[in-house]
Amino acid sequence: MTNPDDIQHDLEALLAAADPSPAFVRGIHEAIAAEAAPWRRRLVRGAWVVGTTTFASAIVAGVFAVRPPTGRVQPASSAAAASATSAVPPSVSPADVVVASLHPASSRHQRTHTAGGAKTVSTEVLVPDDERLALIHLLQGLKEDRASVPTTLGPTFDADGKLLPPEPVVIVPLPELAPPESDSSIRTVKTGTSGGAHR
Amino acid sequence: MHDVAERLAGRLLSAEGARDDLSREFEARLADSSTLAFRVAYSVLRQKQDAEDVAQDAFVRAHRRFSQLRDRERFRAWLVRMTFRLALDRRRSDLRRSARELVAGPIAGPPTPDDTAVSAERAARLWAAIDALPEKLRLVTVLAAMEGERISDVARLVGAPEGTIKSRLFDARRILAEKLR
Repeated sequence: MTNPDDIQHDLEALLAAADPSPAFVRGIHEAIAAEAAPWRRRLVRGAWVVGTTTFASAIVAGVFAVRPPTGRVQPASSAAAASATSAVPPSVSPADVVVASLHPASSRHQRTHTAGGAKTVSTEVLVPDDERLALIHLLQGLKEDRASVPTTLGPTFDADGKLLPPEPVVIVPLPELAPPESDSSIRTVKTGTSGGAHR
Repeated sequence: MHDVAERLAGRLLSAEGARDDLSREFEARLADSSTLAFRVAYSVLRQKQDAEDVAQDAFVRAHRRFSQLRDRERFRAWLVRMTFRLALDRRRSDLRRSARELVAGPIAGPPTPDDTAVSAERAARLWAAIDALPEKLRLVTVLAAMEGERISDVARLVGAPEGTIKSRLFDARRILAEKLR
């Protein structure tokens, strides 16, 4: 085997006899797929996040574009008006409105707060959705310095620079409705303090 | 907002299309070069399973960086050098780890059925002589012995002029002839 040609021939024969197994290429594919999988998963997840965010943003933008700028939602019927009247107490403090507004999911219930160990009960208030959204936006704007209370609520200081007293909150009572005619088909519902009658 | 969404979707789709093209091109290279990579690894390791593992590792690395390869025509050369380097590293680590292989010498394991074309004893002596060659000469010798690889092909794979390849081949054959005398 000292002849270089023989050496070359033997080496060619040895290498030609060495073939990979049939599973070799399949193993390469599997290894590449296993390595590419996390990257692909990240891409798919990112696409879903981007798509969902875009879709939700489009819906929110559409809702705000369609919604009229102001307008109180009137009760649809006299019965609803009566229930709303019975739900609003004679004196409503702004704090109560805020409490009811920021917790829309439970706005039909009385809320119990613990302040300094003493429990206080907030009054239940029914707030139209547009006012609730406006109040939430105002509070968020104040928190992020995008809104100013004086410009929102009007003049706060007089000409001498003294703080003006806040304007009293005036709640105009709804006109009394005539009692319904006695009809046996109408069922009388007792209104209690728990608010269960409004459900 | 819809424009942004459309642009985003367009970019995602075009990126996906480019990735598909890249994947198809890599698939073609894989089909073209898989046996070459395996034999390069086998010439160093002489164990089929080890050679497949190393070649597979080389392909995975190549796939990872395939998009960064500017000249795709140099893929085979890139793959051969990477496979040869990985096989040498694997062999060195195996030699360090295995006292048995240290005792047995540079020939890895018993002759395999693949060696039947050449007698086991001749194959063992030949592989031992090739193992003793300097790395540059060894790679050139193995590549030149592969089916269908001419001097110009070897020069392209190694990334050296043809004259250099001829010179290295001449030196390698002279050394092998002396060792096998």
